[in-house]
Amino acid sequence: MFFVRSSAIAVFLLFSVPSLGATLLADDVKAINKIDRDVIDPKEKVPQLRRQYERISNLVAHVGLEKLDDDDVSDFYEASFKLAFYTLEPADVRKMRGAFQELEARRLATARNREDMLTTYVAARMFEEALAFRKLPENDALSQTPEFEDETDGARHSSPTLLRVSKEGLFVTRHAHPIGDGVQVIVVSSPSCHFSREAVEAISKDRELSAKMARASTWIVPQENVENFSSIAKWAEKYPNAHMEPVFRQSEWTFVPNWQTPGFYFLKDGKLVDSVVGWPNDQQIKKLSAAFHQVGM
Amino acid sequence: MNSLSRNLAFMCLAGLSFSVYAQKPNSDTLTMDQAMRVVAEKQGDQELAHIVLAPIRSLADLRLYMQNNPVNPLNALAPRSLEKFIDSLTFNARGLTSYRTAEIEAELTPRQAYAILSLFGVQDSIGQLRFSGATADEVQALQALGPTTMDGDPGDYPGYRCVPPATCLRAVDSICIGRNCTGGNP
Repeated sequence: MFFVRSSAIAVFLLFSVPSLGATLLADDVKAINKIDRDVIDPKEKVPQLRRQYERISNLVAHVGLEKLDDDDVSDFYEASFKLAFYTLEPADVRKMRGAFQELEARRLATARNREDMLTTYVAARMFEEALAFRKLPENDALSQTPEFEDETDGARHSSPTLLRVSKEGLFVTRHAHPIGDGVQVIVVSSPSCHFSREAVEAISKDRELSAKMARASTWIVPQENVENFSSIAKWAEKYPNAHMEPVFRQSEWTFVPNWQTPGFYFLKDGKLVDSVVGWPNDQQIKKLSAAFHQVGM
Repeated sequence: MNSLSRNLAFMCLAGLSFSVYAQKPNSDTLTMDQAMRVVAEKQGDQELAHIVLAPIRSLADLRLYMQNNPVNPLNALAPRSLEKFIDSLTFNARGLTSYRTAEIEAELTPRQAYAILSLFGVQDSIGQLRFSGATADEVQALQALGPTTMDGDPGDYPGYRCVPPATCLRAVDSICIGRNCTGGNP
């Protein structure tokens, strides 16, 4: 009933806004935005976004990007950004760059668009492209981009990999993180997320739990849109017991079911046994203690 | 029911409560950490008061507001942008949980944006936005609305949306209103 009422209100609101000049892509991009707003789980969101994007992409190919009006080019960039943001696939990021270049050619690109392009490269771990983009004179105002080194030599690993972050956050090294036998707690977290911060502070006040976490936990950060990793470096100074490292690719962490932060995933001998997600209040401490009990620690 | 009673009833229903910062520690013995905590609690209470007193805490409120006030701060956005902004809004029992930032940053002055965000009681989130056309004075004012906590926690999170149960999830062109994101539906 609530959903029906909300939908009716939304429809009313849209009709109460002064009438809009129709553009070629307006309705399709509106559909993309609706998917983005209403579908939370990325596993459901990404296929829906991709289907809708393909539709838009075909329309653009049919008409020709250069023949679109400015509103349509802005909408096409927005759709391309949304797809790249959620898939983090290099091919989708390159499509976003194509749309960005059209914005730039028409002098429509804003400082925010430039920042989004750079941070999407970093999130997709396209570090070479990020550096090259940052070096363009028109991108002078953007923050410094991290330099990347691969300790794994790009080899395919059975274990997932992480990025070791330098003290200033401007140098990252990819390294393997083997998931061995015994108990491991993988904590999905973010320095930008206050719920992660509240969790760390609550855990540090519980002597027994913080000792167990110090022995068994690895704090990992999703592929986030950041210009560099300075916030992770700052976090490491403040919370040395919850030292975070960004994942190289989320897809390597097959046992992590979702990337909301914070999420605590309890593994025993490499298998997911229990999880605690979110930090609405410090009662979560009890759930963490119970999960440790569940894995026999 | 008068508005004060209604707001208090709302706070009870929504599980909101103001901090008891009135129980001030002795200022002679206050450490820097304690002092910052008192300041942060006070700021949190002020943000909560803005939300409780805001005219718009749901889509239904927004509909009524637009009906009753055809001339309003939202008109500062171009029609196409206003449509995108309204389409992006998410609410829970507390009020606005996230909104789209692109058009606000690109089209409005900070003053125009402040007027819009005040309708939802989330005007403090303006400190997290970056305006294309802000003057030096306005930039300074926006910086003054930045974090007051020792760890620099801004309280609202650009690039994220609010997802229950009390988690952050990265999102395109959205800002998560931290004060409203501790329970309920997004």
